[in-house]
Amino acid sequence: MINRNLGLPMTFALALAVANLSAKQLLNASTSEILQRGTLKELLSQSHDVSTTERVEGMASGRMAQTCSNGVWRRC
Amino acid sequence: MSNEVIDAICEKLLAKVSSDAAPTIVWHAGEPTVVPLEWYRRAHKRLNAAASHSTTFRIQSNGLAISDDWIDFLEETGTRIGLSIDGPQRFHDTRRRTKSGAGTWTPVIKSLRRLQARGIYPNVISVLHPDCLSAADEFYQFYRDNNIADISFSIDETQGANLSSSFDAQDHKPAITAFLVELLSRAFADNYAMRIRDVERISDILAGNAQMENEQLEAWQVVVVGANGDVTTFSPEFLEISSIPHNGFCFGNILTDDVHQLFENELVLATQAEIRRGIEICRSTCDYFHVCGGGAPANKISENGVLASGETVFCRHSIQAPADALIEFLSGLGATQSARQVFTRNRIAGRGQSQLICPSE
Repeated sequence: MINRNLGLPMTFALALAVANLSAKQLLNASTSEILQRGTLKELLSQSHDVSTTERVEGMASGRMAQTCSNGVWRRC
Repeated sequence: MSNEVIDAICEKLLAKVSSDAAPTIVWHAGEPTVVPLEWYRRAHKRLNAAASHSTTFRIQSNGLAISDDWIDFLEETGTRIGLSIDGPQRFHDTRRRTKSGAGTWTPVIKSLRRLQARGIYPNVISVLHPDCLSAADEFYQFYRDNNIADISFSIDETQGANLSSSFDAQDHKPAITAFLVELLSRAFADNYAMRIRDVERISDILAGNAQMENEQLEAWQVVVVGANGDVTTFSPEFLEISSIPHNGFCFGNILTDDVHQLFENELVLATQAEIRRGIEICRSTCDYFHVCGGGAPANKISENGVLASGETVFCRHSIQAPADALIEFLSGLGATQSARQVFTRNRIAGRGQSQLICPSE
């Protein structure tokens, strides 16, 4: 997982991925559109740099495994 | 907090936590280190024996009493520490003073250095006031110079005992956004792996790394036990908010109530229903719902007077501003330069290479 292996904050990992998009692609999606979708993955998938897209998705799956700690309470 | 309260927490709460859950036990509110260290040693031993193996212990401190003995305790128990440092000295010392009026920045920084020398890199919470917002450059340099890479901001807010905020007079969301963008931009260009938690949380969601979770919205995801055993849930700040219809958000007492009385309390169910109505208002009115989930109940009742309500100033400052800052930061990189080029160039030049390893990981 990139941000763990390199100590790279997710914000900066996203920045590196987004840098592969043209400015137009990102700026055409307004802040509210991005936030309403709740994801940048669709936007990132427009990137022609497949490795970047895969990398971000890889980060996603890697991190999910570590954050699945729900279901805190046993049934009373 | 008495030994009886600790025992009751073990028997009535920790025994009910799933063995595969990873709860966090946090010592906070007021200044926890005014209680003798020996008390924490005993409490930790008792709690750790009763808690699941994945339990994390944390303490939030002003850093003034962090002795070598305290650092030994943190090391021995794996307790993670957060320090409250309000940025550069001139900002911190304006509001964080001793009873005699002396600034506390210098002793806190000494504690930070002692911790770092032992390999402990605390996360830092900085309370922001309006006068900080024009000094992003100064704040960045402070964090950089002091090897502080894990930061969260607490925006001075109206809540609980805090009846007014220095941000009351006007809308500061644009200025907070600009402050965060400046910090992110400086850190990125400098190759400094700085995590601003408020922004990182949203990055994780937008990247698909994490599901949006707002633990304050579901009963018993957060359990707060006061020193006298009073119990609340949802927002930790509920313990200090007076609301007659909600019995001051005191949902029971760990010493006198059994676990069924606590978990099946009708007042909790009624409060949950009000909170859910508020969530639906947020869902239908707020562009930021997908990265927030429905706001903070304590802020809703403090600012709006009711839980079944939508946007608060807290939302604008602590959720919306970080979200806007993230998008503006990413958009700015796309518009003006190749982030990859900047990043690669800095790595080749070896600048800040050692900072790529986040000490807290």
